[in-house]
Amino acid sequence: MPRWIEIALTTDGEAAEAIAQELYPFCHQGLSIEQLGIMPGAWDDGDVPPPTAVVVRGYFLEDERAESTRAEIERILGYLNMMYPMPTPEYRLVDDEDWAEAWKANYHPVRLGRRIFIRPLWVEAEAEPQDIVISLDPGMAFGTGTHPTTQLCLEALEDHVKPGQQVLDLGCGSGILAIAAAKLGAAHVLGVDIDDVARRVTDENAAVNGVAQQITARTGTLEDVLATGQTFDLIVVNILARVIISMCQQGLGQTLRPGGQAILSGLILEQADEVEAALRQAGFIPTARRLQGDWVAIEAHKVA
Amino acid sequence: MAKKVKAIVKLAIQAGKANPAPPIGPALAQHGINLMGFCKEYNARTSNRIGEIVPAEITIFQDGSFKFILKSPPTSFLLMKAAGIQKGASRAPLETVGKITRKQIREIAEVKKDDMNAIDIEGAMRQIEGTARQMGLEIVEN
Repeated sequence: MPRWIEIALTTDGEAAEAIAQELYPFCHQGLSIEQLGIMPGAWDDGDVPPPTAVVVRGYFLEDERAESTRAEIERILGYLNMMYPMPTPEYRLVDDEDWAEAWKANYHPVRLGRRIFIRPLWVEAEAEPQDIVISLDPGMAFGTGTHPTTQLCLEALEDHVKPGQQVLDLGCGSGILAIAAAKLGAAHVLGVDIDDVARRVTDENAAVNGVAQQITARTGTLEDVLATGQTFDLIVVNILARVIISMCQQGLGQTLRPGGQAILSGLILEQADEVEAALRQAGFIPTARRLQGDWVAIEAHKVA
Repeated sequence: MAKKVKAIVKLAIQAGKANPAPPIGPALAQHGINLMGFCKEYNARTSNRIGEIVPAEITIFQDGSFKFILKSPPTSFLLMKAAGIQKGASRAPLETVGKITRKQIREIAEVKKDDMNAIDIEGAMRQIEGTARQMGLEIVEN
């Protein structure tokens, strides 16, 4: 399990950007700047005064390069100090799992569509007898059932999955959509994701939900699916507009049998026209949009 | 009724590449907000700006919900792009790594002015000139 070294500098708003730009090359994937002095509950949205103090935080791995990274950062802060008084950096070690667990306290059972009931594995909850219960431990993969696009896809699956179907879930994440399709009667679901963590989590969640026999999870891409030559009765793709458009150009249409149903999400309303245009080019006929806030799921079918 | 604010966090991160690793995980998990929810929304809204640093300012509310707005790229990123350099000077102000014109400074000020607390465009330009000098850029007329 990797550990991270957190560097934190408490400063004013003016120096924060200069510090952030100097630290950026040394820190993993960027920096956070948190405004200090906000009394919880004291301010309405839009009324918070500009920051007088902020804390700039960055992270680098605790590995053999950590000491030299730290020395280099301190050297650069020394130069910055010639122009503006710099705070003394504070360091602490952070385990990789701290935040992965912390947010779970906010994760509650969700009821969707007519019968779908999503329960976090660590929460005891009473389901109704007719419910289709999906128990989930989403870990670090996407797809927790709380995101609007996941909910839109689940509702669409409830309307479109028919017993005995072959289903493809591209970008399967935690496996939530694959599990729902299996529980709604699909004969078999192929879940594919470029992230190997997603494949593992999908396998684990399928086993927990008693549908491991109906779900195959693979690490791979659309290209890998096309290489098998298999076609599906229903495909669900919940990723991003840009990825869906690119998949349309790479042969997404060939994965669906004539007359088959597609559900596409992960996009916002302003992207829907562009995605639908790409779908038409790829041989789909968009038939409906489902909306939740700014988020959209597009339903489409392929001419029989 | 307006929502009560719990925290405000700005993340300087790469467009389209948000994930639960640091700095996003530690910054947001401490406030109990759905990490994957944020990452997915950020990636969707920045997917057409791959390769840029697009900061997000996240307002976290007492009820655990959140919203965010995208900010203009950091001044340093825009200065490096304009000056055609990969990184700033590591020993500024003792070292010069490139040049930037006042016209370019003005263009950057136009992009950044809404995110800066400058009174007018000249004030924004003065702040940007300060950042340019910190990075080891020489400011020239043309």
